[in-house]
Amino acid sequence: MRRVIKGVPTAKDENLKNGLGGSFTFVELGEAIDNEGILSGKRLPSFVDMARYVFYTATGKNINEKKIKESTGFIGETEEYEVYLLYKPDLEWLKTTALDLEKAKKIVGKKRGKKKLVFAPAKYLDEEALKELNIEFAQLPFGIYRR
Amino acid sequence: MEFIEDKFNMELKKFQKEALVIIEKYLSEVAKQKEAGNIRYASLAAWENLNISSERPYQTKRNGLGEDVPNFVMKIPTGGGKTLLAVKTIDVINSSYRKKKTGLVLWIVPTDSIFKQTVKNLKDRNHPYRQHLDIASGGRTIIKEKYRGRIDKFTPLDVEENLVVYVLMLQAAARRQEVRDDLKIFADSGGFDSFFPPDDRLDKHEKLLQLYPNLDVFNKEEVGRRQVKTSLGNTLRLLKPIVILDESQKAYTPIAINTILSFNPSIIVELSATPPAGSNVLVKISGKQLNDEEMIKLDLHIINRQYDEWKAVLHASKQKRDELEKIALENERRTGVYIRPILLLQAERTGKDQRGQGYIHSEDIKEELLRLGVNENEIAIKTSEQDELKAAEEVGGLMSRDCPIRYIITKYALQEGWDCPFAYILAILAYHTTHAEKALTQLVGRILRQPYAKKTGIKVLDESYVYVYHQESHKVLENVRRGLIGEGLSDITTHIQVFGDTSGIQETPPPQKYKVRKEFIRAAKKVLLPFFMTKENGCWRWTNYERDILSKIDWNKFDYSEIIKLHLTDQKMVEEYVASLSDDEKKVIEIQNKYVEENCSGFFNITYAVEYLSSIIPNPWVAYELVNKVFSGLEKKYNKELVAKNLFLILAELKKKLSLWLDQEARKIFELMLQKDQIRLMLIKNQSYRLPQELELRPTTPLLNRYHKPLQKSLFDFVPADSVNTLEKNVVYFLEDQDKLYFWYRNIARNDYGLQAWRKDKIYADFIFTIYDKTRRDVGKVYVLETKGEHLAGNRDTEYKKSVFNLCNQLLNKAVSNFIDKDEIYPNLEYKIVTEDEWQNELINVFLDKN
Repeated sequence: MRRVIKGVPTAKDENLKNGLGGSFTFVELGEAIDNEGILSGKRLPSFVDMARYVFYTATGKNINEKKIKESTGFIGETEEYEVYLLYKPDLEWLKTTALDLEKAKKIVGKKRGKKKLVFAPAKYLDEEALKELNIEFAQLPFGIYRR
Repeated sequence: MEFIEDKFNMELKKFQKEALVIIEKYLSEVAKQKEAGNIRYASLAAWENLNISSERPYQTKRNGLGEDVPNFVMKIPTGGGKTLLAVKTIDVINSSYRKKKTGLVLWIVPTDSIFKQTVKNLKDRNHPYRQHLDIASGGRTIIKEKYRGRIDKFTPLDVEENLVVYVLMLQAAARRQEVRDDLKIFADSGGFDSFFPPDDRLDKHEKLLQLYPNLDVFNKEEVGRRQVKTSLGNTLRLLKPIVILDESQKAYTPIAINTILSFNPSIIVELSATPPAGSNVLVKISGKQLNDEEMIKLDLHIINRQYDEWKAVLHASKQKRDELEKIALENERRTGVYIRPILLLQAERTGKDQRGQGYIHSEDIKEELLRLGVNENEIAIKTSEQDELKAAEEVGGLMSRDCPIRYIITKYALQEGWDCPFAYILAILAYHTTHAEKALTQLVGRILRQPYAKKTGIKVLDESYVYVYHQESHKVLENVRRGLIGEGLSDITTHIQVFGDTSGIQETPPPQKYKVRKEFIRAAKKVLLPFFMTKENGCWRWTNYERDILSKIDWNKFDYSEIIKLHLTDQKMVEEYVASLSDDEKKVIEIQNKYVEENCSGFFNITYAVEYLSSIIPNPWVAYELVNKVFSGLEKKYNKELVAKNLFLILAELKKKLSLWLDQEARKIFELMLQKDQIRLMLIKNQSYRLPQELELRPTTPLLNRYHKPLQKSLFDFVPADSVNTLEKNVVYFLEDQDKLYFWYRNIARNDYGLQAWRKDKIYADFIFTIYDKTRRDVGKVYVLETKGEHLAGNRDTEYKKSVFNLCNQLLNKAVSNFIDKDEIYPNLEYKIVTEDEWQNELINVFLDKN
């Protein structure tokens, strides 16, 4: 990998020879995350594993596990977003949980801060309401790959 | 970017040769007229002497010196090799009209992309354009350009000894008179000094001005006596260039035309697929001629998949592409002819931050292609902010064997003359009708060019394919037709229907503000329309579909047993039209319903099914459970492969059943909430609908009454003619004739009064109108009116609106109003829905019983 970044002197390909540039970050993703396993409930990752995965795909940055507050769903922030995850490795819970006005208000709190990026199984809020609350909704599990 | 012109073929096509013969004949006749002393009207007389058949009389044009400028247009469909013809026309002009090989050609193009392409090809000594130019100039060609702020210079010697072709983008020249003087083209600049007398010889400047009175001079105040500017513009004026005007339909604004004529052209040759009014069509090339010369891919197959969704269309079109590539490879093995079929995919959104708003985004399409196993380097996204086609140029363009691109995703960014013969298939993925229609019209021409302008002899590789879905058949045809006309291929379409004016392109004017008519201001303020409101924590707020209805749906109650009873087969029905040139004109576009066998196996994926249903079932885990039950039920009856083949059919059926069921459930929930007084139809100050007092609209053709006179009773005096369909227009005619009517207003969807009930989408009725109460001399009864065309009567949407309107009318009797000033309350309100065959009777009754 490092050779590709910095250049492979013996390579025939001109680009490869000069190095493709870029950087490499090692990320521990835990167990593999697959949609079917998640949807069927057969392979549901733990909250922290899911948080780590979601945070990385959403922001491209590694999560700071110390900052995770499972009770509120807060899993970290970037300059642009505060990221929240409404998730439990519990099929019944997932089937019946949605981001509704009550939960949204709790997340947003009293003071208007950064935009909130909220991962949840579903939402019962219209686009206008989300806009007003300054929330961006990302659906689990599909929203993970969309970001 | 690749343009039609085939780099390997210098040979002119038959119709191109014929066109040149006509041009030569005409120019020789003009020269003869001039020699005979007819200096002022030579071009007109020549036109008439040759009996050139054209629909319109010849339009004489005069340059800035008042001289007669022979001017004509070659009408050539896109893909007809117009640039090659233009180059050969220069040759004809030089040999039979000007009788010299050197001088100046001003080549004017309309857009940046055409500019770059033209300059690139003309400068390339190996390109046929350049080679033909070199024939015209005797090997002495110089290409110059003005690009943005940069102006190429040339000297008197250059023009004396060479053919100088100066390429210019029209916008640079066509500006308003006031700012014109500031533009670089007209600004005094160093490089053109040698065309003009020295600064201190003002006598010579004066002499020059007598010969060329329209030269720009410095303000007298500045210099004292007149001094000619040494600008590019003035240099052009001195040299009386041959003007080649590409896409001349874009140049027919008065400002543009005047600017071009002010360059003192000696002759103007226009190229256009859709010649504008005011131009003289000398050469007309039809789609049939192109087809006879094997330049276009016909038949055009239009495949309309009525009951599908975009991924299915993507999948089907990808499958078609794969099939074409396989055949192309076999063909290559036999003949050595390289063809790599490309699929054009049209997205609704491409902006970086526009994903996930219910529109089909370019990234969604790419993601799906990747999922189907396409290599990333085979996909190029071309948008205004992202041009992945540029990379293709580095390996020799899209036609090169080194280029891997097989999929191009775009919104409309391909429109400007872009064209690649390898593009065989166009898939319109836009779900929203307006997007789909626009895309169809603008993109259909992009797939028509035959590679190497030579038919392969293999039918599927000599034809082109359009995939659409969810569109009404007649609309699809109309938009294809419009698209073909825009490409100059009207003869493929003429027999079907007579079209309106297709000449020229109109600029869209900026929006203007319109105010309510004075006589209605006071009355309009009193009209107040109610909404459904939901009680929450003791307060009333607008009823909200997601919060009040959707969240209460119990999906476990859905009965899927009927889906499991579905009959599955190997084959599938799609609607296909074929647009072709045939001797039997009536048959040109025909509809064929046919069965096609599609291989969907390998595509089956349960998570895909869950995503597909996500527009109905909000929770993916709930959807998964249901899909799982349905498919395992089906797999008990059929083998797995057959189920996979019918994935889209099953999903479409499931979705249909689900949405019907959802409607019923939602209605139950809504009605229960009404019963429990959790929902009310209410008038609340500041939360009810009021008619607008001001509108912002683009001034377009206004709607007139049935006597072609301005509207009298509309709330605003301007109503755009295109804001109503035929039925609505007839309703307007009727309303305008009613003495008892006070005023009417065209309710604008998504902007005005929309009633939220138990479906996600609000109901936006077509009209709001009021009766004049003579005794109170005030607003009487108010009507909210929805009209429905015949073919929509009885469909789900109509039935839904009917039941909501009925409900509203019942509730109005006991409507609760809070915090309303006395004179604002309008319990005297009625919701009405009328169909095409009975609207007149119904409305007559409205105006009868309200004395």
